[in-house]
Amino acid sequence: MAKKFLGIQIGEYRIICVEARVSGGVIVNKIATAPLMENSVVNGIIAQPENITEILQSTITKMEVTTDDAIINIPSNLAQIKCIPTEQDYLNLTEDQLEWELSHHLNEPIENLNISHFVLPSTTVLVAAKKEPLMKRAEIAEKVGLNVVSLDPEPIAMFNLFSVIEGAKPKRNLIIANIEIPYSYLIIFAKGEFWNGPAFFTPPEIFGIGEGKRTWREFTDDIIAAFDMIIHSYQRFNPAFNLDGVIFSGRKLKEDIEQTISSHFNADIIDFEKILKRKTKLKSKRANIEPSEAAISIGLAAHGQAFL
Amino acid sequence: MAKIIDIGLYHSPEKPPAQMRATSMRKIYTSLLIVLLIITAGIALFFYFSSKQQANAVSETPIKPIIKQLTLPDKVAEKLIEWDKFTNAILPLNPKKLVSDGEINFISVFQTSSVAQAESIIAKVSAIGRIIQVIDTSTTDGKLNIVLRGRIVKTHTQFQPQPVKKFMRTTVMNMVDSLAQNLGLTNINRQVIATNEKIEGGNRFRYRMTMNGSYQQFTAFARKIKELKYAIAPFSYLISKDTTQANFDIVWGLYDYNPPKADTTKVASKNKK
Repeated sequence: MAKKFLGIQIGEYRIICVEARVSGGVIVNKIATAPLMENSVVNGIIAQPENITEILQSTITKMEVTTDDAIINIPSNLAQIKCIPTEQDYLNLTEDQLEWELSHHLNEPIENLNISHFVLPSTTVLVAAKKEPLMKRAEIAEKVGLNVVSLDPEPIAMFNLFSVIEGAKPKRNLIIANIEIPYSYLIIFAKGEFWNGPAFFTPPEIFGIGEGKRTWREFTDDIIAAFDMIIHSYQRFNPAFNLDGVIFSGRKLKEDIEQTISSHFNADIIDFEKILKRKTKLKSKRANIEPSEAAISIGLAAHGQAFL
Repeated sequence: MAKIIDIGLYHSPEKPPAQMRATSMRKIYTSLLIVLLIITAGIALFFYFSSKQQANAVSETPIKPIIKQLTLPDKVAEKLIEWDKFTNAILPLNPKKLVSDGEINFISVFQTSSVAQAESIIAKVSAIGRIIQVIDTSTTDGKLNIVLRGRIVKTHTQFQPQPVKKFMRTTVMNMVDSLAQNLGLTNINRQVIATNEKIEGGNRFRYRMTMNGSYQQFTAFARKIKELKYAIAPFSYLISKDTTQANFDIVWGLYDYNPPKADTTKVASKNKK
């Protein structure tokens, strides 16, 4: 049975909200973006909640949403994601097994974090997110009358989007680079398995926001370094991994940069926008954004499949 | 579709459904409730008016049971058969006295040696007659006397006796005497009481007959009377027993009436045509 969900990405400079009908796939019915005032959100932390509440309220009112079930993003820098090999029932051995396991991966007290995990066939995904910023996002959504079904870290939302659009038996090994301000990140979608890569700073000035001295070349070097890291770390876990394609999501990179990166790893660039339009019926022009910029919001809504 | 990662970091607490949705659902429920109320009211009105109609309805004239009008021959026949059955049932219980109006009531006196035997006698008499009451008890010579009053059980019969015409009275009386004599009853005497009593449906001739004998002889006599096939029935009787013999004092009624005529009206009308 199909059900509608809202995927809301509260970013550093804007809110992107989609209303999607979720059943076997995800069909985007409505999309809206709303710019945020400067310093409303700083490094993912909501500094001016009243302002965000107001903007979110007006956005969903304009959209005339028909559901109040919402899934909200957690920026990549506020969530720590670790992948460990799946061992059956390992985390169910004792009640605090997850805490014990995460304590070996994290540098801060577990009391300040909301923790959870999810088991895939080969990898077990451990997630920890800071309580305070997480609760603030939930409060804002609830204040505008939404029912927060889940708060998902952005890399997880991206993975869920590919889980939906790649079909029942995914055959490709992909690296997805989501370019977002202030932090970009990489994930691996390896035939339905998840692997989390590094997050790295995105200089806003190269996208014409703010001032700075970083150049596209430097940023390209950062991206290539992040690719190297994720491929090597995953190949240690799965030596049979061969990269089939690269997907660039989020903010649009220059075409020659995308080519430079993909050729460096001898992988094809996959036309993500075309896939998104075909699979999700996305009409992003209405919101004046590129289709790939709505990927996280759609991925958040895709999580709704777990609640059908 | 590949597996979705369902990370449960947070979920809003359960809240009541949105007002908009509640309102629309309420509308549906309200509509349903109104429909149900209308149906219920309709059913209630239907039953109310149908019950009122029934109350106002003119009741049908109750069908009166058809009471069989007994003719005199029927009454005589039933009386004779009842007497036969009753005496044949009660005399084997060896009453000391038995008095009856020959129609409904009887009084019998039994002499028993114990209370248990008395109770047994009462039970047996209760099976023979109806509304049996113990009206007196006494003790004589170490024996327990009980006096029982009861009613003779009514019976129906198809038996149709011949009327005893005036000229046949002596013949019938002689036949009764001969029957008693043949069955071993002795000291047979008779005495006329009433020669021509007008009763409904005919005339009655009453006479008294006394005789002695045993209960066995008398019960045989009672059984055989009906075989004479004449309209003769006891008007009243007293049976008493001393140490050895029983005395029978019976007032007989001989009945005369016109036998029922065949309806010839139809035949006559046919003949007219």
